[in-house]
Amino acid sequence: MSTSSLHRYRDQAFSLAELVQASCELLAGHVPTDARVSPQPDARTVRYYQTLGIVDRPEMTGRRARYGFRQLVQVVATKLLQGRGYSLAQVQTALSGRTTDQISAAAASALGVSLPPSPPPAKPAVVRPLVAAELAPGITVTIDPARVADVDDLVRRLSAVLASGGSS
Amino acid sequence: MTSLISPTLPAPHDDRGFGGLIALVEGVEHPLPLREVTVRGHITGGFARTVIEQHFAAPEGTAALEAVHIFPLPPDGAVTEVELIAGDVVVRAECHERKAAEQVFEKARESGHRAALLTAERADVHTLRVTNLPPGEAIQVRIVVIEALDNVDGRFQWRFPTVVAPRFMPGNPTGHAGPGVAPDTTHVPDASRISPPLRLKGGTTLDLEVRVEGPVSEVASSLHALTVGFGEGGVRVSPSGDASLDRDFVLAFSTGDAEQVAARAWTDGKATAVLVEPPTLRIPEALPRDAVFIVDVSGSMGGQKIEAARRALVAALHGLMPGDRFQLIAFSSGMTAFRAGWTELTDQTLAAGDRWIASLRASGGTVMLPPIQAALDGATPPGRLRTVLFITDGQAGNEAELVAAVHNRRAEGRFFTLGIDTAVNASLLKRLARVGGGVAELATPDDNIESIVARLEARFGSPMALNVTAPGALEASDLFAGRPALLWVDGAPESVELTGEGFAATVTPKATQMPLAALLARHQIAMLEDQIALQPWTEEATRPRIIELALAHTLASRFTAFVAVERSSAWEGDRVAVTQPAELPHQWQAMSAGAPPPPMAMRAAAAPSRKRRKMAMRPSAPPPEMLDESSLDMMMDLEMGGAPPAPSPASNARSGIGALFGKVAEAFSGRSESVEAEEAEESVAPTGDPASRLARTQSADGSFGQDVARTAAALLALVLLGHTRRAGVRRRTVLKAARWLEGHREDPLAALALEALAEAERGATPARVEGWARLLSAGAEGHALSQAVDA
Repeated sequence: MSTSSLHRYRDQAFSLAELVQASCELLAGHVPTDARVSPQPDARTVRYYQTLGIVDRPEMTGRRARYGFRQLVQVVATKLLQGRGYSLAQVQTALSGRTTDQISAAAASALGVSLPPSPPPAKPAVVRPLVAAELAPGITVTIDPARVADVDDLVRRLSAVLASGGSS
Repeated sequence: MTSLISPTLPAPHDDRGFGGLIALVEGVEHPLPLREVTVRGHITGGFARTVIEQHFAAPEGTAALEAVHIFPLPPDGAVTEVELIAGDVVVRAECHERKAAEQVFEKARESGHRAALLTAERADVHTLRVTNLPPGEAIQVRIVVIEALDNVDGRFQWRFPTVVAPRFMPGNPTGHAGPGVAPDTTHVPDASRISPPLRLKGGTTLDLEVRVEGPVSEVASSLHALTVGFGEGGVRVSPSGDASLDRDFVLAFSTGDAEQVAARAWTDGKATAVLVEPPTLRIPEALPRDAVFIVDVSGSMGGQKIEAARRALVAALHGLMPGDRFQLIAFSSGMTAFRAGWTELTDQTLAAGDRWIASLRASGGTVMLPPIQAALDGATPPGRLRTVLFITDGQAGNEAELVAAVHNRRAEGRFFTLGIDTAVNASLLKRLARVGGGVAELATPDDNIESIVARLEARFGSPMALNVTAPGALEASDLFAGRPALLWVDGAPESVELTGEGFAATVTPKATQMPLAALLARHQIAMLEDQIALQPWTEEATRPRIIELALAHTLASRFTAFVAVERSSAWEGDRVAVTQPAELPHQWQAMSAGAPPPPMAMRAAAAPSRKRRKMAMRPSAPPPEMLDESSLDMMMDLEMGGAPPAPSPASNARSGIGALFGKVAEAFSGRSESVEAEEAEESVAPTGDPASRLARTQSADGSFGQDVARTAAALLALVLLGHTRRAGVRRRTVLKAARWLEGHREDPLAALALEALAEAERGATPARVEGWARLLSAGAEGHALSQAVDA
């Protein structure tokens, strides 16, 4: 199998039929046929996953539904987990709130395919505290200290502008 | 399809490679965003102020959470305050026009700020979004709702919804604009905004407590076991044990101050609310009725709900008076009628109607428009009154067109609704009744449905007073027995002078802390929103008026929303969006809602298929002995003490009159013959209190078996159980029997029974009435009853 078998879907858009077909191709042979679930998803299954929120709703272009990589890995991961004996109820909570990277990495590993990591984010995810400064009674602004070299100086200058009636 | 299996792949049962996936399942403790909901209600003077706190938390990981929660609020409630609470920071939300609020939220999301947006999709369905919640962090949103309580048969009712049930969305798909799971359709353009995903297992904890001020008695809930604590100046009520977001919380209580009061009024200094009691009960001189009964047999009605609906239908059918005509309509994806056109009320048609009702099964969609149109079709002849009783859980999304359909034909009859569900669509049922000139009754599948229908019959089509209004009132109301109406008066007059056809009273308002001006504005907005549903082309002109009212009182509405932004930090990184799945309502069957059939795949209703088979097997009409079977059951219950009798003074007299009842029971059972087993299986098992069972055996003409002695005995039994023409839920049964006996006054037994009834209505003690009963059983030598008893 090509190492890019999952990767090549990353930027693709699918109709429901195409999503089902791609899922089946990826899953072939990976869900035991003696499992209590059907080894291959069909359109009805995908719609049911959607009513459970396991598969995100598609983008709509007019009346046509367009699915993406996220929905593909959601379908694949669901079937893989069901094949291991996990219930849909367990899958529903397990996949909730997961990023596409988390789901696709786990699915790729289970499928035995490698998945090149998605490009790392430009900046690591952080929560940056902002500074609240009162310029004048009743007027408070928040300032991002990471982007403003001298917060105190900025506050002084803004206050001066306000004090002068706005004509700097 | 090409197979991608290669020999180097691990075998399917091998654990290699599954570590990551399994970690997703095993590693999560609180995976869904909504962790807990706390509800604190405060009820005083017929109003409730409820504080709802929704607790959200983001899972550990690398992405911030954006959560969407589609949830219900009381349909007539006014959302007056929203706050975002992050740690020790509390941000008060601002009320803006919806578009502006959405823009503020979008901007906050892009800037990485934590923010909350509350929008109203329908009168009851709301959407709360929170965004930029960093991994592992928690946030709360606090919502304050004010509402006026319902008042039914002397008791206040507080119904707090906790889940938006899956609703049927008729029409063809057109797109998917909202965060829910159903596509928008031609008939429900906002279906994707009111359809949360379905949660398969587990529930979010509901921590609910309500404090009721003042003297309170008869506190009860039909869907929760209660813990009631008595404290200073009131009671504290909460569900005993764990509660979950899968059913309404229904609290009923009595304040004991309704008696002998024509009206109660409250004011906050700006607006005045007047709760007008219907005039003291009198025997309604009703016009002969053309009664249409519509019953929902869609899949969502499965299980206990369809059983309750069948019982309700049978009870309502037997509540018809001689001279009335009826239609029975069942609907799901299609509709089917008992018979085409009107059916005259006879013993034969009653029995055939019972069998038809017993054959109803629940399956399919919820296409409500055609049966509503059929029920109000054609002109009602002069001198007759058309009443429609619509029995349903109300779970359909095309509310606006249903409301319009009832409104457009309101001149042809009065439209009553009976909602049966654990999470009923109260908003729809109340609106239909409001525009249709009737009243809405909300029941749960566990309620004693026969009693509810009996109380409903008392109001059917015969208001006690018409067009009751006051200077400065927003509108005029018809008053139905047992259903006080709430009138809204702009301003705070010293006293309110109420006038109407058959009504006049003056009431002095009491001061209240509740913000009634906001509630009045909410009521005005509801009226304007109804107008848009009825006349969509007026939306352009009506919208500014709604926005003006909502902004002036900071209320959520279709066109206004609350937004709160917490600007002390900014999230930089990925976000993952989750729409909180909602539980299936309690007692719903997963089959009915699990995978709703797509709108294109509608099947014709298959409801009475079983009937055809049965009819073929049993071509003859049912034997009249059927009538006696349940009366025997009723007597057995009395003797065995099985079913508790309706609360009445007479229940104390049970043992004292046991001997007489024994004789009456013998008299009744002596006439019954064996009943075929299959027929018994087919019929709706009679339940409810003995009086309701007895009522089921009444003939269409009001008699019991066209026999004076039996009718007199039955009437007396009803009187002993506390029912008269003026009081008790079996008023109509008593009225019918009394009318029939009036025609046989020459018979001393009939005269005696009627005198006993009149005596009871004048307030005779149970012992006195019992004396009449003894007289009846012992008197009139050679009389039918005596003979039967002696035999």
